[in-house]
Amino acid sequence: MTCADAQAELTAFLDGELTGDAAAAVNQHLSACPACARTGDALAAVSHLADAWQVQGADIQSAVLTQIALEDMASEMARLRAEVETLRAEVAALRRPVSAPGLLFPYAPPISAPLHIV
Amino acid sequence: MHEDDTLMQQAAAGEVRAFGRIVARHQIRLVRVAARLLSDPELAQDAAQEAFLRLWHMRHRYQPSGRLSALLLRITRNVCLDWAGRKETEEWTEEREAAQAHDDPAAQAEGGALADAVGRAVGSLPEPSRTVFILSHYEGQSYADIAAALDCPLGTVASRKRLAVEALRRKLAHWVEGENTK
Repeated sequence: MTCADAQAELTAFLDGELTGDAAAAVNQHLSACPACARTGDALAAVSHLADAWQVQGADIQSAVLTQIALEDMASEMARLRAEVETLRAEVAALRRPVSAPGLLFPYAPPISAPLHIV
Repeated sequence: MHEDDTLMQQAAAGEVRAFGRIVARHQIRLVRVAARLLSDPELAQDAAQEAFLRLWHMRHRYQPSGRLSALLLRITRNVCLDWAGRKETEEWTEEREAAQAHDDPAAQAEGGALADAVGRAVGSLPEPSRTVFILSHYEGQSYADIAAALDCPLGTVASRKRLAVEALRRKLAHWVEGENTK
């Protein structure tokens, strides 16, 4: 293995991503090559330094579930609004004035003879 | 079937509590990843919340694959990239708090400065090397898992991680040398 090959694999080697022959080849090269071993030490030092930057996770479960509940409510309100609009349109249609007199009392029999009071 | 997949199926059937369990299982990591991607702990919570909401909206289309974790990481990264422009001035409040674990005041100052330096160095890495470094180094994700999360080949993950570490080595040269002289 050349130095270039070893250095290309160093990060994966340090991350434990190499196995079997690939890992053994890098390991063997590092044992025999002080320059590459120094590079490996420097990369490991960078990893160690990077640990200084710590951030915390957070509990956001209730916030997420509240948002979902709000979205559900908004969706239900939109559905109800649409339903109300439909009903409003139906009521308006029923209230529409009908101009043809015959249609007002379609059941009224035609008066063709004098009425008899029994 | 993977527990996440079972919970997603229950969520798709309308069980909000099942989705709540998914949130509980992944929230800490997603907030942490978002905090590092955005360099803003408060905005990170909003970003992680948005990621979960996007998952909720796609619950009916989710295909059980045992890879919900990778999907969530991908969604979170996308949200963070979308929101990157909203990032305000860098504050690093929590990093400073973490650095205060040192007893020695001098060590406190040095630790805080180092945390700042690392945060800025990682934050200045180009995408997608930054995401690869964060998932690999801080979240302990394997290259295979990162490849699944970012939908890219394994070799690409390896090369991006190598580029990130080499860039950090240059950016943190002062600290690396300081470390070596101790």
